[in-house]
Amino acid sequence: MSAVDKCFTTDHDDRVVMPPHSLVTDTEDNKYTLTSNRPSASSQAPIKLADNDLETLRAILLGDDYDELITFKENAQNHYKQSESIAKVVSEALAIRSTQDNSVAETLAPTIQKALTRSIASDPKPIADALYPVMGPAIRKSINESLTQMLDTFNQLLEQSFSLKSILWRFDAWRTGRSYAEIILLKTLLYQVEEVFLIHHEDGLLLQHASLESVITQDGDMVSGMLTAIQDFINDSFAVEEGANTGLNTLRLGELTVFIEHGPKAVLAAVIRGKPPESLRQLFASTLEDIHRQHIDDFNQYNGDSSPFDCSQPLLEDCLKVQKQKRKTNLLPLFILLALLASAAVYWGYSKYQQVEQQQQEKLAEIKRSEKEGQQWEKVVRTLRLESGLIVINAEKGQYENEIEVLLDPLARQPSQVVSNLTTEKPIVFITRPYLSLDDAIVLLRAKQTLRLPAEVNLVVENSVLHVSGEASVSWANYLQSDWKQVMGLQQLNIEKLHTYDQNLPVINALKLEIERSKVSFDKNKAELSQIANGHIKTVSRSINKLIRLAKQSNKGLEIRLIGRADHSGTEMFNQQLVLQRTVNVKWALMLLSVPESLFVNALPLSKQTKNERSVRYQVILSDQ
Amino acid sequence: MVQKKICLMGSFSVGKTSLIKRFVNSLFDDKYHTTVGVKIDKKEMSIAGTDLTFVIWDLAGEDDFASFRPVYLRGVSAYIIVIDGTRPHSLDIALKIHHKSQVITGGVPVVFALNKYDLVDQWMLKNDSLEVLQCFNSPIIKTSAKTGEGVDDIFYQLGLQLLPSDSM
Repeated sequence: MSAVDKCFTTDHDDRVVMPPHSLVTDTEDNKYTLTSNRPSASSQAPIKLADNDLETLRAILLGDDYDELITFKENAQNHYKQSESIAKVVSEALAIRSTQDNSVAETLAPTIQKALTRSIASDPKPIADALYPVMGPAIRKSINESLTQMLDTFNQLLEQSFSLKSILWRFDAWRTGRSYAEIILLKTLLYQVEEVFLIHHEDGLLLQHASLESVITQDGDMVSGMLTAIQDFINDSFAVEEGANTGLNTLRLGELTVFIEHGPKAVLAAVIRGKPPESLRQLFASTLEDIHRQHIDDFNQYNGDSSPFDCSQPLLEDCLKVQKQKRKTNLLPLFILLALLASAAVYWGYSKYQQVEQQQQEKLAEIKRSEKEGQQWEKVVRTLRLESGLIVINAEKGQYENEIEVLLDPLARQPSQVVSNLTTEKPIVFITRPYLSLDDAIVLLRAKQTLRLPAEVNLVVENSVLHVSGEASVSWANYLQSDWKQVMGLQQLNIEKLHTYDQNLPVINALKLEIERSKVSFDKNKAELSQIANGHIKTVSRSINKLIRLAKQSNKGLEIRLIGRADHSGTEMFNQQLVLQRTVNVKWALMLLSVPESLFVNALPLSKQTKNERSVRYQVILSDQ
Repeated sequence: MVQKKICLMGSFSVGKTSLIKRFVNSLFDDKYHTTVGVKIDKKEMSIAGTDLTFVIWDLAGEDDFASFRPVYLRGVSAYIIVIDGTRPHSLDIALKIHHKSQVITGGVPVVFALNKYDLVDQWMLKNDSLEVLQCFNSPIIKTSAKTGEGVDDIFYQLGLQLLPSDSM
């Protein structure tokens, strides 16, 4: 600081001491001296002395600082050098001042404004190009905001509508976090971006191309050329002012729509089939901006070689959006198929679950069953052992069936019948071997079967003793007493409680009466048996034989006495003889008819004839034996 | 692969489209179809070991009535001006086009094609009029779309001019 002060002071002093004439000269001289070389100035004659003196004086006063002061002075007076030295500090100075107050901004603002205005007025393109990456997103943001506002209003209107589809769409809106109106817009659109071309803005050459695999594409180079040519033609024909974001935006041809986004260096053209939403443009625009940002240098150095742009391929492929609208009618079979598949899967899962469940249950049941089976098995064997007329000699459990070997009385129940009310897991196979049981129950059965048991008789077998009670005929009692030992297993017979009766007695009495009432008649003085008499004797003989059998059954003694008679005519002698003859004839006739001779007892002598008849009568004599 | 935009210009009916057809598809058709606007074709060539793709803009022919559209020249790497040897007027138009194009493109390489060389006996172009072309110091090639003569040479000459200096 002091050095600078000194410099100016010296300069000032210098000028003050100079005469007016020499001031100019001096000034000019000085100028010359300063711009060229200082020592050369001292070579000039008119001021040489004074100069020398001054120089000497200055040298004495300032010493080594003097040269530096001169340099400063030179720099301060030279514009170029001054600018050079200010340039070194100007940005730092501005920065320091900016931190202190706002004067820098205030001072520069009008200038910058004027500069910008002039720049844009002369050529707007550089500014537009520079602003393009900034303006694009900003504008989109602002458009988005206004769209959102519009959609909100739209939403309110649509809130009222209500249908199945709207419910589904509302669900979609809720799920995706979008507004309902947005979902409606999306759902009703149907499009697919088939091809995307990145075309150099200047020459229309193709930089990069992406297409859906399913789409048959034309030569991208030629298409991009033609697209550019068309745009050029239109721009030229309709005198559109050229610049960024101007030019053909949309081409439509039947189902195809071509969206064209313009950038300063490149154009992005997308071929879309269907109804593309305007929102697609945002995607294309931002893609184009990204490409611009990434390839600034590549664009500037572009000479027809598109290989530097290969890395933008993924960006372009991201633009190949496919939005499909679901058609109800087409989906119905699919839904049905899905439903069928789902139900089949559910059924399969359920049956599988059941199977597993069943297996588990079976395992549990198996355990229970094996326990139960053991119990059941024991019960079966026990029951069989308790059964009369049946002896278990072997019982074996097998893998699939159980086997029981038994001795079985023919009168006993079949073993399967015995255990028919018992359940067993495995079937039982019975092997039976016959035997005779001495069990009381079986012996009783055997007795009942063997002895022709009358209805009124009851049998009880107890400890091999047959107790017989009730009423029975004498004959059966006789039969019992003679035949009870035929019943195997009986040791003793008890008939104390058996009441007997003779069932033949009425018949015997009837037969007796019938025989005694009948008579054999003879002709007068005859002892020969007439035909009638023979028939009569035949009838009587049958009765006598029957009586013989019955009397024998009832233990009755039977005798028949023939009583002959004659009429009162004739002599007594003759009559006696005749009667005897008659009796003998009848006796012989009866004997010929199987009536045993022993049956007849001697006829009583005819002491007194009471009846006047020619006959032989019978007298039946029964006696208890 | 280096791509180059090439414009093909000239008076109407000088055979621009036929030249392209011959160059690209090796075909020739006697029938005349006028080109409306512009027609784009592509041909790949290897010149001095460098693969080049020519994207050829076949511009509609011009006459005194159909105006020249400079917009198509934007970004062009080189251009071809076709002259019909049987019609001297086509040379006049070619010169006009060349002049305008040089101004617009800032002096990109050019090749002049003197077409319909198969009809050389009917040519009405005098040698002195061709001297004008020689002043431009650009290749002048006699071509015939019908026989194919000189067609490939046009593009070969163009390619040579377009190759980067280091690959020469």
